[in-house]
Amino acid sequence: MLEHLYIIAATETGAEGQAGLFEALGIDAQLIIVQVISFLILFLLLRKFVYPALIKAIDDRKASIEESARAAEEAKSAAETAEANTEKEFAKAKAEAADIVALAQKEASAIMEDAEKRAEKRADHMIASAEARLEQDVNEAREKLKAEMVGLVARATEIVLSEKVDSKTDTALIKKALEEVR
Amino acid sequence: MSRRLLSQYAADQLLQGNNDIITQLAAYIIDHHMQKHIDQLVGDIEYELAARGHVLASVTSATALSSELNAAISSTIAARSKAERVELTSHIDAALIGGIVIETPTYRIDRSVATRLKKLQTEL
Repeated sequence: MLEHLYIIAATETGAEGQAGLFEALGIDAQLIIVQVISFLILFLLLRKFVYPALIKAIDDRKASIEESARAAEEAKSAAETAEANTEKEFAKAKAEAADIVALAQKEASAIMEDAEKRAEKRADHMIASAEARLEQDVNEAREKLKAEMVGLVARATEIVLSEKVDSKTDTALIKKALEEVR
Repeated sequence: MSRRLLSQYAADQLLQGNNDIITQLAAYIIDHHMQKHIDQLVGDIEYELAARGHVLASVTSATALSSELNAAISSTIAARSKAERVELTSHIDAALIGGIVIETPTYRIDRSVATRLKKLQTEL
């Protein structure tokens, strides 16, 4: 097709008799025209069929890249947020663990102290109870001994009096009793 | 008839010299199945007699009492009970060691050596 254009152009140029000027300047006017036309046609074809697809592909690629970049940014941001949250949670967990340990130590100390106090109190109570029991036993023994002694004394007195109280003494006792009750 | 009225009636009859009241009273007790109340009834009659100036007293001593002492005891009981007549019943109990125990329907006097010893023992 382009060869036909060269022939037509050569025919036209010779007919109008302007070939001498362009030839003197070393410019092939026909060739330029043919090239311009070829360029225009190529341009139109490219514009019609290639550019839209190319631009669309570029736009899509650009959008894809932007999307990827945004996603990457979001992922980075999310990662940073997650890391920050992790640090925060870790610090919080550490603080809670420290609190728990401190509380456990405090409770253990309180339990130990309470156990010591109770043991001490129980020991005191046992000592006091033993002392009271001992004192009670001593008192009981003392009372028993006293009662036995009194019983023996009374019995001895009774025996002595039985021998000593004769009729005369008895009469005197009775008279004295009558005077008392009169 | 209540035990109180019965004892009052019996006391009056005894003071009037009606000794048959004892037999009648025994019959009444058997007839009314009051055998288990007989001690209380006797006590009530003695109380009623004492209230009427006739005291029945029991005297316990370690040895037998002379008539002089019996008279003194009767006199003491009569003065203390404001009684016109006192009847003594004597008992011997060597365990008393000495002294006397006088029992009337309204009071009891224990001046025995044994009781004094017992009191002393208790106080000690």
